[in-house]
Amino acid sequence: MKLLLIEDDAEVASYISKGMKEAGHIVDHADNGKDGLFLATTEKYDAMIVDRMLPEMDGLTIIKSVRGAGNTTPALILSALGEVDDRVKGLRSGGDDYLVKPFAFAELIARIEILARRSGQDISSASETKMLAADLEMDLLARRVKRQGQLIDLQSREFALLEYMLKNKGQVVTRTMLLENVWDYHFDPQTNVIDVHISRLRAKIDKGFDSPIIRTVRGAGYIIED
Amino acid sequence: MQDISLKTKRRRYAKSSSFMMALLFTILCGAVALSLGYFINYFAKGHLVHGAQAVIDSEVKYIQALGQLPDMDQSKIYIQLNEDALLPSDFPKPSKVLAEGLLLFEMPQTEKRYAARIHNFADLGKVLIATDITDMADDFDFMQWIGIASIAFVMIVVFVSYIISIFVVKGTNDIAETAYEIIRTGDLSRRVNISARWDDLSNVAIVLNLLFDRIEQLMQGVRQVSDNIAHDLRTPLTRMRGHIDMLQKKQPEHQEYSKLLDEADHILQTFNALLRISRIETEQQRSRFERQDIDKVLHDVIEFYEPLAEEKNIVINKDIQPAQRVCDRDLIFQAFANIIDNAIKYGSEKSHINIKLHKHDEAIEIMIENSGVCVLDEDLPKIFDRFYRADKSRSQQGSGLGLSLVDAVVKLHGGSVEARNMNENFQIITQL
Repeated sequence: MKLLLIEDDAEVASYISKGMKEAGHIVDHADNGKDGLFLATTEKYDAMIVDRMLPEMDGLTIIKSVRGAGNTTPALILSALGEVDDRVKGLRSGGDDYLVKPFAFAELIARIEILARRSGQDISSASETKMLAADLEMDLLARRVKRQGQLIDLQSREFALLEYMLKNKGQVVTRTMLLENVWDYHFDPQTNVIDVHISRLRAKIDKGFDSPIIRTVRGAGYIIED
Repeated sequence: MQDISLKTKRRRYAKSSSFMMALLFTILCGAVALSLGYFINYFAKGHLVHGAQAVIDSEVKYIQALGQLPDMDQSKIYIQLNEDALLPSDFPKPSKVLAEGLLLFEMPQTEKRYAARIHNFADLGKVLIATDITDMADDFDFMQWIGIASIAFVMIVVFVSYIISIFVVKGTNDIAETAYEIIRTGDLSRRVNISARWDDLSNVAIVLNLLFDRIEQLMQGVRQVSDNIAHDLRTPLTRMRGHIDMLQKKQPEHQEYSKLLDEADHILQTFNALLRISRIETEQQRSRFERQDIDKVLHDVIEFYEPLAEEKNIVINKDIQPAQRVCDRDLIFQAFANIIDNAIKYGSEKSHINIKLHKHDEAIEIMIENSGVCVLDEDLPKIFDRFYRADKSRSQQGSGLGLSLVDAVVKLHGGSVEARNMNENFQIITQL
C-alpha cells in the first residue's frame, strides 16, 4: 500500500513513517501543505494522512483542492487535541476519517488500512447481501446468522457488531472504531465495555464450535479472518 | 414563588440583628421620651397649680386681715358673689379646671389668664379671688410643647432607625445571598452589587468583591497549572508510548512492554480527560448542538452498559419519558455514560440501578440512582471536583475525572447536576 503523509511535526512524521514501513507500506512524506498538495495531485496513492494545521496551506484546504480535481483518494485527517475538535467540518470538507492526536499507532494503521481497502473494493462487492467468514454466514437481507448451517440468534446490536467486523474482514478494527461505527457515538468509555460486548457475541457464535471467529489483537482491537 | 420569597424576606428581616437593634432602640427611646414628657407635664402643672394656690391663699389671709376687699388691679380680681355662688353674667366662663376648686379664666379684653378660687369668708360671704397667672401658664404651655416635641422627635427617630435597619438588612442580606450563591453554584464570577460607596456595608462589599476576584484568580491558576502540565507532558508521553510500542513489536515475548503501554495509556487518558474538561469549560463550544431525542441517547447508554451491569448481577430499572432538547449528542452520551459507569463500578453485586427521565414543562430531569455507594454527606458537593475519589485509598480504578466531565457538559448545556443520599441510595440528578 502506498501512502502519502502530510505532517509538519518531524517526530510524529517519523513515528508514523517508521511504523507504516514496518507494516510493509510505502510512505511519502511532505512537511508542508504546498509540497503535500503537489504530491497528492501528481502521484497515485492508496490513502493519505493529512494533519489539520500545516505551514503554507492547512489540511482541510488540501483535501478540498484534491477533491475539487476529482481525486477520490481516501484521506484521514489528524487533528491535535486543543485545536477545535470539529470532526463534522473535517469530514464535510472531503475527509474520510478523523483522528485526534495523540493516538495509538494501532488505531491509525487500522483506520488507514480499512480506508484504503474500502476504496479499492468495487461497488458490487460493497452491496453484497451475504458475508462469509470461515464456516459463518451472515445474510443481510434476512438479518440471519448461521454457523455450519445452525441458526444463531443475535440481538440487533450484536448483529451490527458482527456485520461491521465482517465487512472489514481481514482488517483489525479498534475499539474506538467499533464505538463510532456500531454505536455511532464519539466518546471515551472509561471501562472496557466493548470487550464485554465482544465476549457476549463470542459466547453466541463460538459456543460449541472448535475455532473462534473473532480474534483479539493485543494492543489494537479485534479481527475476523477466514 | 414571589410571595414565598417575600414572606421569607420579611421573616428574615424580622429575625435580623439590625431589626432587633432598631426595635430595642425604639423601645428604649420611646420609654425615655414618654417618661420625660410625663414628668415635664406633671411638674410643670404642679408648679402652676401650687403657685396659683399659694398666691390665692396669701390673698385670702390678706383679705381676712383687712376685713374688706382691697382694690383690684391688673393682677388681682375680687368679685363678691351671692349665696348661689353664681358668676356675674359679664364674666367669662371658666375655660378649664386646674385642680379641685381652682378654675382657669381667660379675659378676652386683656388676653390675660387668671387662676380663680371661691372662698367663703365669715364676714364677706363668698368671694371669687382671681390672680394673674399668664406668665406661669405660658411657661407651662412651653413645657407641654417640649413634651409633645420630644415625643414627635422619638417618632422621627423610630422612623429613621426603621429605614436604616431596612437598608442595613438589605445590604447584609445581599452580601450573604451572593456569597451563598457562589458556594451553591460554584460560579466564582459572581460579585456583590455595589449601589453606594459611602457606607460601611458598601465598603465590606467592595472588599468582599476583591476577595472573590482573588479566589477566582487562584482557582483559575490552579486549573491553568494542571491543564498546562497535562498539555506539556502529553507530547513527550505520546512519544514515549510510541517508542514502547515499537519495542514491543520487536520483542513481543516481553510482557513488561504491554504493561508499560497500559500505564502510558492510563496517564494519557487522564491528561486527555483533564484537557477535554477544561476545553468544554473554557471554549463553550456549541457548534455541534442539534435537536436530539434525549431519551434515545439515554436508552443507547443503558444498552451499551447493560452487559457490564449483568456481569455484576445488577438490574437496571428504567422509567424514561420521551424528551427532546438541543444538545451535543456525543457529550450528553459521555455524561450519562460516566454516571452509569460509576453506578456500576461502585454498586454492589445483585443491586439495582434506577434510571428515570421526567419532563417538567421545558426542564428535563434525569435521576440515576444506585444502592451500595457510600458518599459522606459533607463530601457530596466535592464529588464533581477534579480528581475527587470517594474511596480515599484510591484503590478503585478510574481517574476521578468522570463526574467533573459530567459537570462541565451539563453546565455547557445550561443545566445543573447534583448528588444526594436518599434512603440509603445514592442519586445523581441532572437538570437539562
